[in-house]
Amino acid sequence: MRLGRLYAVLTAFVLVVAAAGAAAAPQEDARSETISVDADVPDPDAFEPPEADGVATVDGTEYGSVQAAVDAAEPGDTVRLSGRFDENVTVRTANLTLAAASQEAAMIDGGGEGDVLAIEAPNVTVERVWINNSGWEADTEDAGVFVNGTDATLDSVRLTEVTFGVWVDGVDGVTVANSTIVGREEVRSHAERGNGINLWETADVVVRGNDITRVRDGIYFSWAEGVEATDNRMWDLRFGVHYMYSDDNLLADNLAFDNDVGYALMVSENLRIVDNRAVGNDGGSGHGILVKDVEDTTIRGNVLADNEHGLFASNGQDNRIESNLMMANTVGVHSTAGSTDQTVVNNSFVHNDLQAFSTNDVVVAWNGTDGGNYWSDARTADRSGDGVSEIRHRPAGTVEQVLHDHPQAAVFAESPAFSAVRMAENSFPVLESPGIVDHHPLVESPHDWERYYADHTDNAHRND
Amino acid sequence: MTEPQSGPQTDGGTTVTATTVTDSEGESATASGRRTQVALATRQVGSLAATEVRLGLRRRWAVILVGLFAAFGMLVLTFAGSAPGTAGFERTAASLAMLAVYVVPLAALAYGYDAVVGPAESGWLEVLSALPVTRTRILAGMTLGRGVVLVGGVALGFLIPGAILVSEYGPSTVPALATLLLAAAALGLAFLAVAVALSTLVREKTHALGAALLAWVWFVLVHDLLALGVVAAFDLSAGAVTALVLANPTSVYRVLVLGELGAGGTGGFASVLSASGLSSGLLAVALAAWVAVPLAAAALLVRWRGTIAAT
Repeated sequence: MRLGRLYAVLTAFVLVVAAAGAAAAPQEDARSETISVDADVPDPDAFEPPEADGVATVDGTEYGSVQAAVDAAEPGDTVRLSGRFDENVTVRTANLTLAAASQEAAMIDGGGEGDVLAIEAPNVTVERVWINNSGWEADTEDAGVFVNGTDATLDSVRLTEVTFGVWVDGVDGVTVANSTIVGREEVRSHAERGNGINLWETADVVVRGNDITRVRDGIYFSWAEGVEATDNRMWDLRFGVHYMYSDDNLLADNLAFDNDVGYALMVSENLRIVDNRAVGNDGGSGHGILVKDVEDTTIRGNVLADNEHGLFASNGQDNRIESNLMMANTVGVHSTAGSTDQTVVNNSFVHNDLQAFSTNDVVVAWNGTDGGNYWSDARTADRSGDGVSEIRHRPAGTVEQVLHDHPQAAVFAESPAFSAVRMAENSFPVLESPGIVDHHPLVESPHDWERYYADHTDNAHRND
Repeated sequence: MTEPQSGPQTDGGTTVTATTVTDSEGESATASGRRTQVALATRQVGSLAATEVRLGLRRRWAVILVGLFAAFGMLVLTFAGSAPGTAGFERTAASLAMLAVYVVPLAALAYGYDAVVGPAESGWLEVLSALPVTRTRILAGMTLGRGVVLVGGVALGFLIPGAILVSEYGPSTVPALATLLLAAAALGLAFLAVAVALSTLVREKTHALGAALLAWVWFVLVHDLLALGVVAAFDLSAGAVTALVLANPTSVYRVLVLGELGAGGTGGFASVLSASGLSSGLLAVALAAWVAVPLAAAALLVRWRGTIAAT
């Protein structure tokens, strides 16, 4: 019969084409779609130091050394620098300005000893000067700029080959803006490096628009209050930002990528962590935001993508986690025991391998009032048309517990057995296993997450 | 009524050769004798298979299978919508793959459960047995024929949603979809083999149907659920986890396809695969074994069944 032959031939044809298709082209890399970071950061290896001997000009007089010029200057004077100086400078004149024409016009090289520039008078301004080669000891706080005078301003300063970049030593009103801090890559151990900007016992500090890399922590807070850290970019560090015992601070619009941890919040209260981005922080502990022993803190509008854990919370109290986008992390939010009275609302959980996980041995509800969070994998049904699903969602239940305790179980991922357990948990509140539940998941994401999927080509210059 | 026509006609011409060859079997197996024997076996199995394909078409099985897979595939595409980028494709393809876990085994079991017991009840098997053709060859021919119809159903049925996906997401998706299609076809064959083995084992068609449904429930739902429970309760060695996966053709298929698609979803899927040594090659071999072993068992059982029937 012709029909039978036609059927067999068609089948054979499709199979041969399929076999050829499967064999011919190599499999596409499943993770070819990476998260894009539009970080146009400077390349620290492309800096060109000035060659000419240094000339420091104050009031029309020229000096061969910065120290001599600074000592000769009166309060309120401006010392203009050009060329290369090899010395360690201490400024004891108040209201002084040290300025160069551009970041590459003048460099002070500390010769690998102590602090390169120490500010010991109030209201000193440093603009566009390149500070290079501080001492190597983290224990003795060797810094590019050691600030011990109130209301100091560092603007567009470049600091390279430093242990600590800027050390603020218990003085208030300091501003560090538009500066570049590059530590020593050859110091392999993070413990032996210093921090980019080290704020110690200080208040009313502004840290704005800086690029920080190759140090230990980008911005380190200890007993610092009222600090506004905005628009900074931090990469290849241990922690991008690190709060210790520092209350009432604002962190906004920063970008931290390729660090161990993007933003580490520890033992502090009343922080506002707003509109920051943490991308690809997956070394060591690997968290976008780490929250540890923190109270009354708001984490809002941040984008946490492609990290090991988007947000890792332990021992927090009364914290608000709202309107953040957790996307393509291994675990979106990991919440451990001791995180109490946590409000998690209006966040988007998109395509994380494990959307959320809780080690709490009770059921935690993650929806503050009537709207919960958006889950890219949730089954939603919105009969009333208010954008809130009437079907509760269990991002972390039995399946996630089993997966966490026994990673081997991942081979049964997506199996009908998994689906059956999940569906039973979502449908029958009688089966209440410990974990996280969202009673009113959002139908639509409050975030435009699709735009974060893009090619990595615009980051080709990023150093890995 | 039309069933016996083609069979005896083709086989009738070879009766004499068949008997002589069977007589000389084992005593003086000359090279030419063996060649004739192989040719004969091929012809017998071939014509039986052709008959089975014709029956499959006449009984609308081919249309039903193609329609079923095409309809479910389209259903998935409709619900998946058209999310942009490879993420959208991955999810759609993964949904298609997971749909196949339910539908393909069910269709294969439904189509295959009466492969032996059906003709045995209708007397068609007895008619065939009167001819000089061994039971093993009858089984081989029938299975081959049904295999062609089933694989055709899977291939042609999934071709339609597959083609739509390729036109939507571009030709770079062809390898993943081709792997998916081949794996689904292999999964179908594995369950057809299981169905045939069950069909050889039981004496009544209704029993075969019951056994086939039980097999579906076991392999699609219960086995993985139990395995999950065992993994959760005990810290198993990597080898034990591997064995748990290989003990279920749907698991083998699922892990193979998800691994190839890179869409494991839940954490650490790929690392678990490499830790348990579940490479694509091993999984493909396991799937092939799930076709071969039940069929070998059926080939043994069908002889045993013959002696029972004779007494």
